[in-house]
Amino acid sequence: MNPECFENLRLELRRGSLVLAVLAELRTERYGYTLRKSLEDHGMPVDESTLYPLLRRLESQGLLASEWREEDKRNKRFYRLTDDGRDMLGQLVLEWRGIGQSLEQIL
Amino acid sequence: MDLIERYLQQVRFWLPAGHEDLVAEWAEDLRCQADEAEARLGRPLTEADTAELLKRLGSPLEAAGRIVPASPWLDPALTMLYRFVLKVVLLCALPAVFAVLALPAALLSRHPLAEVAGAMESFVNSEVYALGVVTLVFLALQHFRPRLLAQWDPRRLPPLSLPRGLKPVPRASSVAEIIFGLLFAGWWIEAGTRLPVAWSSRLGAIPPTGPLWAELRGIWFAPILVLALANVAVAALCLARPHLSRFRLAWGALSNGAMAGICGAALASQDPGLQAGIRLLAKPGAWIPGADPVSFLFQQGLTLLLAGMCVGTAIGAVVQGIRFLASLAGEARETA
Repeated sequence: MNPECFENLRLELRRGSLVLAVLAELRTERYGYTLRKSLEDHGMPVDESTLYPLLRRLESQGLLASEWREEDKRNKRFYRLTDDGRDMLGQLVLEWRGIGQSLEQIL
Repeated sequence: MDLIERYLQQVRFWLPAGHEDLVAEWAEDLRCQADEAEARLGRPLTEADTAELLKRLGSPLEAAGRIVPASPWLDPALTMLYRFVLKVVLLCALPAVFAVLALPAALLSRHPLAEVAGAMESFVNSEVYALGVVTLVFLALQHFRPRLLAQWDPRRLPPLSLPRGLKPVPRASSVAEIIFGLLFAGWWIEAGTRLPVAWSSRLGAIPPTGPLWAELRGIWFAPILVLALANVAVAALCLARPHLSRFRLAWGALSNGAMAGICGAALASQDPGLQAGIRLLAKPGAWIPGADPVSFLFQQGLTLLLAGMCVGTAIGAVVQGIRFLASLAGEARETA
């Protein structure tokens, strides 16, 4: 097996599920670093240059809202799900479970 | 933390405008990582610890490349470099050469419309040719990519010397200064034989004449050449080290002041010429009886050009000098 090819396919597979994981984690308000730590603790490590552009994209799609706030004398950008984001997460979870069931049957 | 700020300074340089917010957020993330590492080690991070933290992110070029969508046939770091080189070549260097050399020559020719159309066609061809050459070079780099980026060392990042309110010297402007400076110096060395604007026109055959020209080519020849070459050297230094904004301001004030002085001194030595120039301004149709029309126009044109340059460079020197002093004062206030 070509390890480089496997790594590319593995990343592709995980990238698709990253949006779902980020939306789910942001049911609770978090800032970038704690979000990254939480994803990592749940086995979904993601680097900064992937996460922050993704958060921008989700915010521009109206699924997330953010604001800069001071905490521990440092400015941090906090994110939370919007109502649209909550609806979208519900839809995506249903879709994810459907895909899982189908794949289970196929595999 | 200084190393982190130096790293982010370089990331900002490579990113297109509009990503400041994202870099600020990333900076906070890095500070949190540094805090966590300090808590784990039970001591403040050394420079070597911070360098290890940054190495994990890759060079600033690679990090910026991962943020901006990459080209499908180049890796992210090379994509950033490819876009930068294309911007410099297609949007700065070629249009500048066209605007300074080809366009005036075409406009001064016997058939300006036809010559301008021809020059435009050459310009478009040059752009397409340059696009092809740059693309081929980067495809080759992608194929035979040296492992230079893997040897990247955060401790060799340029120092954080940008005072508040100063931005890095834009690389495109440094490149343009180098190109124009070298073109000017080349022309100045052989300027006794022809005018800069008209290699292809009738004016190209007319040797520049007149007392003001003789004055410039006499005692001012070497100072002007040295100033032009020094400007090229400073632009090359700023291209390699864009954070030298304050030094660039100081040099700008000095060199503009020197140029204003040269122009003023040359004009002062040509009092009758200066008066004729003022007469020409007051009454554009005025003519000196018996004067050769081409020589007269050349002398007056040069007088007005030098007067404009004298005023323009003097204003530039004052503005840059004030900005330089303001940045020094700002730093002194912050230190206090």
